[in-house]
Amino acid sequence: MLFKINDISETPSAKLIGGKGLQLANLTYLQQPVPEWFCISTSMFEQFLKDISSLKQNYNDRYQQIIETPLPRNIQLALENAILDLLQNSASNALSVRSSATVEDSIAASHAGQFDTFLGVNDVKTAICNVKQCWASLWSERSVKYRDQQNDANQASMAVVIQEFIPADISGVMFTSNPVTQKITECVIEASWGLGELIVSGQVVPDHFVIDTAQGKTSEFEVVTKKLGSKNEALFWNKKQKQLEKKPNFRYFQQNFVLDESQLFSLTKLGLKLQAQFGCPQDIEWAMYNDKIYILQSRPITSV
Amino acid sequence: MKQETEFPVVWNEPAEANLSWFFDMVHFPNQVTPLDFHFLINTMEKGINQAAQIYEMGFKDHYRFINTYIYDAPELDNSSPEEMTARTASSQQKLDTAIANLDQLWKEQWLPEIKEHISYWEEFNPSQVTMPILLEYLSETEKRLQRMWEIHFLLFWPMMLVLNYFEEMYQDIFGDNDQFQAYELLSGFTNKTIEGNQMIWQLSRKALASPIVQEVLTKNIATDVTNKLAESVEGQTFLTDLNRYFQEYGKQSDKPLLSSPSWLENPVPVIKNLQNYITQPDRDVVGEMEKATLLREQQITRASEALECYPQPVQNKFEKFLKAAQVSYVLSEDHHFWIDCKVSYYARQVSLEFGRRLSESGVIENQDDVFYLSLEEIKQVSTTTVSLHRLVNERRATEKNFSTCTPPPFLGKPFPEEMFDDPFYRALEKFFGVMATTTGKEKQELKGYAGSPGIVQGTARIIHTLDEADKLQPGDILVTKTTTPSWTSLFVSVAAIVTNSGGSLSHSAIVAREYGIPAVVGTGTATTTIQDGQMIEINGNSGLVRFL
Repeated sequence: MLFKINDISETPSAKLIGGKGLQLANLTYLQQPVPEWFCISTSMFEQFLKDISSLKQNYNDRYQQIIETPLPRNIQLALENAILDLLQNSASNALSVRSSATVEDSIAASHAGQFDTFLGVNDVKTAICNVKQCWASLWSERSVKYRDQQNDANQASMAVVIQEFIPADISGVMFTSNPVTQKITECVIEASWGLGELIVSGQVVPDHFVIDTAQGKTSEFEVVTKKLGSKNEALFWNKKQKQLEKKPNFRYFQQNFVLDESQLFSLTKLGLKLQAQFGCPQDIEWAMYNDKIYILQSRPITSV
Repeated sequence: MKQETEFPVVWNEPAEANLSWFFDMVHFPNQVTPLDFHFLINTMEKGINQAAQIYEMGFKDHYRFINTYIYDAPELDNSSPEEMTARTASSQQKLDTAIANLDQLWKEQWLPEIKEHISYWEEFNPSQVTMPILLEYLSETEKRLQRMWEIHFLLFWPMMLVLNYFEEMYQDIFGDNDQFQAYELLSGFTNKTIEGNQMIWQLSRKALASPIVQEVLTKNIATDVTNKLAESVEGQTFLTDLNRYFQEYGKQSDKPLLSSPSWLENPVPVIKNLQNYITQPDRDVVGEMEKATLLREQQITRASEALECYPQPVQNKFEKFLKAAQVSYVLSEDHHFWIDCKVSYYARQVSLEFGRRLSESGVIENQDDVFYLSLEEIKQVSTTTVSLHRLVNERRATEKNFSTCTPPPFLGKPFPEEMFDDPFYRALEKFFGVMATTTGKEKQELKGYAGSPGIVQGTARIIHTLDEADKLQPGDILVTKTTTPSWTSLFVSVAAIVTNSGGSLSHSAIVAREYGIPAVVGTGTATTTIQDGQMIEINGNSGLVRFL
């Protein structure tokens, strides 16, 4: 089935919509600014698998098999409609397709980056193909190996989140408590131009900010550290070509901080709200587009 | 060792030797007099430092009068790294605010104030007042000059910064294979320099339409032209037009120095220019310049299309930089007309009045001996009859002594390398072009900065003053130390330009591009390396001059 947040017939669980899906469900219930989304549940994945008589052993063969096997007609139609609907309501006219494994993002083990994610998908056919790729990535060499080490092999299933794609102007991460100094009254924000992928993967050195939140009130926040990052590249969404492009960043943007004080404080305020709602310090991925902040992901800080 | 004997340097304080001094060839390529230093340059120094403080720029500028030449050293603040980071951020914010409001600041604050200073000077007649009132006027003038210079630099720094920001952003988008393309988006707007030049050009068309005026201009030497024009009715009408030009644009000269008469006082350079222009009856200068406007519009369209691939904040930033850079491109000429020229003109007028009075009372021999005194000396002797003849003669001898020397480009401590890796210094280099002089020179060529695109061969004409304009033949290449906007009326009549000083955003380069003639600027030594009359090829794209 397709899990939609307004659909109250199913209680969201990691088993049903995967770790990432559950995160989004929680954020949505908390009325956080999350890009529009829905989820292809694990039950749908399993229904699809049932139609395949025998899965190939070799990963590459199995991958090919999954891509080539057509979806059951009812799933195909429901999915097409849901994707088209989201595409039309998306500001960028594009979507993200994200794996949401049942073992991912669990509090015990951070599986970050083990499964596929597709950004800037702008037609139904590609989106459906990406969904299958996400499914297949459950058995990719690196994720199998990772699960072996974590002793949770074979119990994993895969949901897929389809979400409005945010063609971020600025993105970054935020730690609502300082993971380095362990200070809970400090919020750490790292930010750079374009999409956050280059920051998360460590390909650019972002600007680094530490905000003192001891006083609690936004009007009394204080930026206590500011470090200019080199930010020498940026992943921008080319809205004309409808594709992502990694470009050398502009010298002016490199030499100046990407966020001003008011933007930093808006982010901090949002971060503290999340920390209060979840009851523990959060590690947040966020994006800014047309001056609006979006929360892409929020999970407990594993090191604090 | 040789340099020491030719150019001995004695510092007032030992600490001065630890500063990095450079010879400002853009503004003062020639010798200056003691009064230039004490009146013009001292007020400028104060104005700069006032503006630097307002923008929290973290440096203090020092000017020294060394062997009759002007040296400039920025002294950086001795603050801790933390203080420096905080100061830089605050300074950046102030400069960025000024950049965002440049047009408004100029039109609504600075220009009205400049005009107020000008009317103060215009309404005062120094020859009609008693000495105490004249002395008061002198002090008031000093104050107002300082404020004029302060405005000059409040404008100058954001202006240069945004021109550099714009150029760098343009290159980051389109690649830096052709630096001139960025300037094409800024060209084709009128400015005071172009307006003045166009007015002489139009006068030359009027002269061509009147056989009588044309004959006067062709048959007489420049110094006789005004008198001869007055002899006929048609000539008188033309003179009226010419005077209108002098009233508006005549308060400038080819050198921004006190000893240099303005065109209003000595119209000969302008007359020579007119004489030159009427030898070009078939040119359509106005039409030629409209091409730049057309090209600008095309290039802006091209840039906007390319920018559609980028997120909105990038497009917004580019738009902002483009607007501010277009304003700056015009103001880089206009501020010279409104500030530099006026400062020199009115300071000269009051100096001349003291010169007249002091020579009458016998303190000095001639009126222009006054340029060899300091302001303090003038004030002290204003009501006495003390003879300063010997002092003046000594100073004139010193001037003569150093008239043929080549002042070293740098003195004191070398400039730290890391200083150049900063957008502010990159911006200043585009104006001053100071670094080019350090590059090695091949025998067959001379390296400078690319100033305006195109490759041209022609006869080199070394010109030191505008008064030599009559040496120029169409197709010649103008070779000169520096060109302030006042020189640019010559650009219509030459095939290309080579200068000793300046960078790609210096007056000469900007105006050369407006006229569409190739220029190589900042060669350091063109006026001594190139022989007058020599055949040369200049490549304005690469910044190279070849000897043929």
